Amino acid sequence: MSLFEGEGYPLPLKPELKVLILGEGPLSKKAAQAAVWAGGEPVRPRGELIGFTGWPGNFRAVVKTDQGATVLPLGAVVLALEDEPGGALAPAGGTALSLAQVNPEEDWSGTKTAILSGFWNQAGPGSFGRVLALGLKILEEGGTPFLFAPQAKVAGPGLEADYRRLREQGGLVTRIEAMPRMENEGERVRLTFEDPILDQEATVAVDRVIWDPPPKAPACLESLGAVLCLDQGPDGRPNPDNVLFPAPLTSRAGVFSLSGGGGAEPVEPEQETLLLSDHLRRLFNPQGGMRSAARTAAEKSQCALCLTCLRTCPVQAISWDHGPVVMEAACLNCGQCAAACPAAIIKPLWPEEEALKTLMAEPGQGDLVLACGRINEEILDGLPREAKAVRLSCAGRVGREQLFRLLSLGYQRIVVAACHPGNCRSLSGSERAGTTVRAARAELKELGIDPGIVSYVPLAPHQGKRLYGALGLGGD
Amino acid sequence: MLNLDDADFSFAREVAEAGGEGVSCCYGCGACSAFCPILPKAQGYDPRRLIRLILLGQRDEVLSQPLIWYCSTCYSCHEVCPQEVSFTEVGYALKNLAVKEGRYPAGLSAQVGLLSEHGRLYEIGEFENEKRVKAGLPPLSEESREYGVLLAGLAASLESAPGAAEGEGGGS
Repeated sequence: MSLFEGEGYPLPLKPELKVLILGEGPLSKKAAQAAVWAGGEPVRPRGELIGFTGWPGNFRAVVKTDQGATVLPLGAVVLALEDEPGGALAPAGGTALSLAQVNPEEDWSGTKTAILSGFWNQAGPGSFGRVLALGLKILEEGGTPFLFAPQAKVAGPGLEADYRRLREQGGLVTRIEAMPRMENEGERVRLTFEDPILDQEATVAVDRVIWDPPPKAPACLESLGAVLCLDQGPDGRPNPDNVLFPAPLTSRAGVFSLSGGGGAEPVEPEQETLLLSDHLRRLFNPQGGMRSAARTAAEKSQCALCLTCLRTCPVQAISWDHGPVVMEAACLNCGQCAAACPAAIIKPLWPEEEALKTLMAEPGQGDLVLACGRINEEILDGLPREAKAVRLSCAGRVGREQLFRLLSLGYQRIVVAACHPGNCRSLSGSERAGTTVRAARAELKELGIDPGIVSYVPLAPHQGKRLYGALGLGGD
Repeated sequence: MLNLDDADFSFAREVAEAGGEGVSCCYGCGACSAFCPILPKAQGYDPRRLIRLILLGQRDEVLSQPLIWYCSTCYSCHEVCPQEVSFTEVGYALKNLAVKEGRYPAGLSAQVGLLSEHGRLYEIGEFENEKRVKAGLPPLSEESREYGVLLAGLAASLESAPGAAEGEGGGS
């Protein structure tokens, strides 16, 4: 049952729906088609986008024109980004291949091959399955595959068995946090990476490197990102942490990115168009709007009707009835919905919430650690007395407002200690914490305040050293 | 800098075949280390790290480490592991592999000697027997030749293991 079906009186959120399509080159056909299917009208700005305010379904974009500036009412924005295979990654000698370029007849026997997967985007189970299958094929044909990926868990039917088989048959599957460095060494390529568990560098020489092609960020994206208030990664595109794959969503509700999210998992162009139009329709389709009673009730409760909570919940435990309704049985208690709600109307009920409330009511001083509940208690007990530590159900509970509120209460430094992103019990909690902290840091920087006073530390539950290091305490 | 060029990537399978089947399921979450009662007491002991070294094919480094003998086999790691790796079992496998190559701490051969001579690791005196009688158990005598016969092969196998002469290598 869809949330938006049912009797009642459909009410559009905004009658004239324009979808602004941004990108380089000609108007993206996929984006335009999706906008039309969703009942909207695709437009391109005739001039430079200089301002952007509002909420999903009711955005106002300010475009600089020859005559001055025009205000453009919009329903949504689509960033039409294109993928570009290869590029920055290839080591000078050219022994590297993108996943799509692998020759099925390739002779693997007696050679070592490194496969790098998911560094540009969270690889879905489908793409990881392909990578594992390639690894097994290499093994069967007498080669040695080394598979490096930034995520730890492999979920999906049959994948775990493949993962084990690959390791038991003499291959390597390992999680590392960042792309390895690559240098040519004669005919071979030497990979050097920081091992997150051993906390030391490791190196291996291989004959071939195969990787997911990094997507290309249009030159305009950096400034656009600033105007659209998107979290951006170091490569200048919407941060891969926040692009749900393959759903074309960015970190800002109502702003979508099409392709360019990565090349990790091939999505058929039609499927991508359908997905996007589905998201757009959910946002503002006049035929599927919310019932008026629901709308009034939600308005009374000051709900922004942005559906951010629905999109945020990693397990879809939120349904809609006159406003968000949390299904307790399915809820993971991670609190990401509460952290993301722009109107702060989601009031979580779990016990940790009291601790947070108390914390917000008292003046503070010194260092504050907001820690995921999975982090070993002894580590937090080991902090010096001047540092305060609060355990939350999940680090994803920490929102931007809370960070600023806590800073205004007098804390000198806030460290958000979360699990490793690939190892988060609430799936996206750790990544959300990272995104929140990055956004807060950007704002602090803009205000001329040292952004280092807020930091995000992903660690394994027992890695006290890393947390103490972030607090400048050093050692255990 | 750890060089993996000469790493023995079949080591994970060797450990699995020796009884540590779970080792290749590990994704390094660190739950085992978080709950390990030995980790805070013993400098450098970290189950997660040992598993990583196994997966990275560091056969020599792992088997020659005295650290593999530190596990108290309390099964805390087994209880919390989301992947059912059971580091305790992996630890047994490592110890067995190490003994096969004659890498064991000096204390171990002393223990085997005690076991094969007396059938147990400590002396049974009057005090212990009084406790046994109170608990309704028959008293034990120091004469336990049956165990000696059963375990005679154990001490011999330990002595005949290659490298037994440098048995100190394992530390204690």
